[in-house]
Amino acid sequence: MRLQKMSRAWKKRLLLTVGLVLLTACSRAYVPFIPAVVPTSTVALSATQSVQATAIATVITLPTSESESTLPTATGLYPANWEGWPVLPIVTQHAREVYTLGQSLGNDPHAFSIFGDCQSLPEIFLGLYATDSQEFASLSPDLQATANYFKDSLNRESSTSKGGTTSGALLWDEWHENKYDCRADESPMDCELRTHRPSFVLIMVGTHTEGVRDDLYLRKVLDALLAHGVVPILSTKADNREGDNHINLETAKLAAEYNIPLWNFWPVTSDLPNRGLYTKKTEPQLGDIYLTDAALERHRLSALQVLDEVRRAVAGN
Amino acid sequence: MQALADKNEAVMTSLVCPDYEADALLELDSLALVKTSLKDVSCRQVGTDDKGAQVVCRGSIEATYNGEVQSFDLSTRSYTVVNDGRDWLVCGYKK
Repeated sequence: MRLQKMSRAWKKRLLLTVGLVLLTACSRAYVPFIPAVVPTSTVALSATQSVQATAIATVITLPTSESESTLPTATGLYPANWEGWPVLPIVTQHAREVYTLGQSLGNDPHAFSIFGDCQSLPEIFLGLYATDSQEFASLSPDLQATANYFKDSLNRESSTSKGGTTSGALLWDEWHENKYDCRADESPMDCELRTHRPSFVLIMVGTHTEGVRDDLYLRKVLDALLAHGVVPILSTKADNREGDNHINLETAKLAAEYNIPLWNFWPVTSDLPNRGLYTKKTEPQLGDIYLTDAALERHRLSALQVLDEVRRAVAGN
Repeated sequence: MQALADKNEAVMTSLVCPDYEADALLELDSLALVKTSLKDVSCRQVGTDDKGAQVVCRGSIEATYNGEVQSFDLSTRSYTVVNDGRDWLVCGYKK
């Protein structure tokens, strides 16, 4: 993760340099500044830049250790220590390979989907970045860029993001109620993959269920996503309703086994009163599982940071 | 169907054919977080074939979550049921 941030800083420096060169190249002769770095890898320029920048592309280099093309093959994290995992996922080469497969299958690089329950509804989650100008303005320039990158997904309603959604419901062909352009013979997951063609899926189901078959269903979901070239992003939850945190542990185990990104939301609310959780009067039997406004604010910001991290990592920028 | 609405897994699995059990459990697990009830449900046999008796129903499964109601229409289903000598078992349905 740190490498990627360093890499992004280098990228900005590089783009600034290339931009200056291109701007100047249009008007007068220019001798490019060559960064004083060890030349070990050539920078790939976009198609629009390539013609004008050919002369300088070969002399602008990045050190190999900070090259954006390199991702680790494994996270090196142990599920048993999931509480200490970083909030933002360590994106591995496998995720990039899945993404690359998806692009070859026609997935939309600007599309993500959410497989989640009521805490993932657009009006309290990422949709606010599309509908609330103050929320959007509060973001850093990088995150604003990511919000714009995914603008058609942020406020989108779907059959896979509804109150009460469980991992099983993602596979049940009636859960979508034949809405959202879904067909009667397809599951909400299949419907979402067909209609939205996401490149990424935030998986936030099972936040307060303890179904004995959740693992089975989640594996079916993950297998299907990977086969479709969609990068799954698992997440931990803020609550420990089950008492021994085994749901978050199981999630971390799945992330490690499948070598896919995990958004570790658990520590994000740790300093909030009651971990940012409360009991809804209408659902007293569920206990403290709902996120307070303060926690919801962190929830959506953290999710956007995760999408930012993953999309830049798999695309190599 | 009552067992499904009651989320009584033991009763439900005792009343379905082994080949249909995984699908029945998927339905049960899909409704795990919602409050469920049957609304105006009645069923009748409409025929038989080599797989068993064909049964169609009216009514719906009402699922409520946080005050929002989803209605799963049962009239779109044609169930296949067989008698195992003791009970009538649901072996699946077509839509």
